Amino acid sequence: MQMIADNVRAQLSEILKTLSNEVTILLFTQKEGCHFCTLARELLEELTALSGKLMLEIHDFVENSDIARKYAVDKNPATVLVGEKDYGIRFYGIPVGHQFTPLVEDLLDVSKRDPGLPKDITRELAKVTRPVHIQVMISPS
Amino acid sequence: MVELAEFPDIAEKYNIQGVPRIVINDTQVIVGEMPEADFAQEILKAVGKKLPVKS
Repeated sequence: MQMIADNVRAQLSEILKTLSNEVTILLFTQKEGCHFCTLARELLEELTALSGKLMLEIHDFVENSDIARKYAVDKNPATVLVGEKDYGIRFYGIPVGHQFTPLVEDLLDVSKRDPGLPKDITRELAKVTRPVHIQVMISPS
Repeated sequence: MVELAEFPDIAEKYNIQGVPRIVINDTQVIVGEMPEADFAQEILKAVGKKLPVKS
């Protein structure tokens, strides 16, 4: 099943031409009890095929539990974006609908190695010395 | 980012009634969206940093 429509695919190809550095997408899936894992895999395979700068690594949540632990992934499907380091960006659930645009925007930011925040905000946030867990809750449609 | 339709237990855990909601460090819940600068302040608040005086 085609996950990304032809017109979106053409648009994405243009946007992804601006990728400067490589981004690795790690997808964690599970064989049992994960309704959206197969679709998430198909989506990310189609997406990463659009640019040579995008790598896809698929890990089994159960068989590769050490890798899941390393990335603090606790549910499936989980999409992790990694540049030259792990920026802590995670998408839980199939990244379509409200998650798709943020996914593409985050790919661009990770590729730039820069979140694109104004300098005064970056300066304020530099005061944070402990890890902070931020969960953005969304739902389909 | 968490798709609640796939993880209803998370919605239940934080008693999420609508979206978007942002949960910082399991304790602070923000309803809706806000500008980047305000969100940065919420993060600083969550980690107990002193906030700059707003002009």
